[in-house]
Amino acid sequence: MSERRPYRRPMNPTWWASPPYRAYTLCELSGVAVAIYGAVLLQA
Amino acid sequence: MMINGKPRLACNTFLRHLPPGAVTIEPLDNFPIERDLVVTVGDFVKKIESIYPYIIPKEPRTIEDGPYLQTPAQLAAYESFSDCINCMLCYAACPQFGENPDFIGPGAMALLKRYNGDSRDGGQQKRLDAIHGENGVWSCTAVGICSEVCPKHVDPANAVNQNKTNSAFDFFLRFLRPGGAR
Repeated sequence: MSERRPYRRPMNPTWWASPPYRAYTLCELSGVAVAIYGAVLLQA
Repeated sequence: MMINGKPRLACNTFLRHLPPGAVTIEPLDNFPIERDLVVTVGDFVKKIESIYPYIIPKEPRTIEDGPYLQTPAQLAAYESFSDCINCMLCYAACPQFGENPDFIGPGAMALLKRYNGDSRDGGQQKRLDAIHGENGVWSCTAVGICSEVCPKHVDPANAVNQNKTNSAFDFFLRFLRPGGAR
């Protein structure tokens, strides 16, 4: 095995917006709606 | 390797299955690159080794004891997870592994489930200790892409979820054992 410092390609910072991950991102974003609803319930 | 940006088996991907035009071929994502399309897999192998990927007998056996026998139901409990060919496509697709290379990853989790689900095995506790930690099963955020790219339909995401259940169960069970939680 080489003694060189391993090179790891940086991840795409917008991986969450690429097509295979969109369903996951939408699922996670639903947490925002739940948080807003929770805040509304706390104020009521 | 990455073919048109997706992790695929190069030996199993034909040009006729790809859209017309230029085909982009890259080394597997999320792994250190050794050279050109070759990635370093030493870290992956260490992760596989860390979960004891072999049957640890419940009690010592000799050849005279004969073969282990299993019922079809006992086989079905782990058979799908034993199809893993360690192609690492699930690691290349997993954004959690990309963000945290110390994460044990879906492939090792599926293999862990394969051996922990085996009725002949007695090393469940040893393996569970490997997944309780910070970089263990709880680092997974259930993206589920590992199961989508798996060429053998092993469903590592399902294995991870079952391991999460077993990990949580084991955590609470420790309080009931003699000596309690250590």
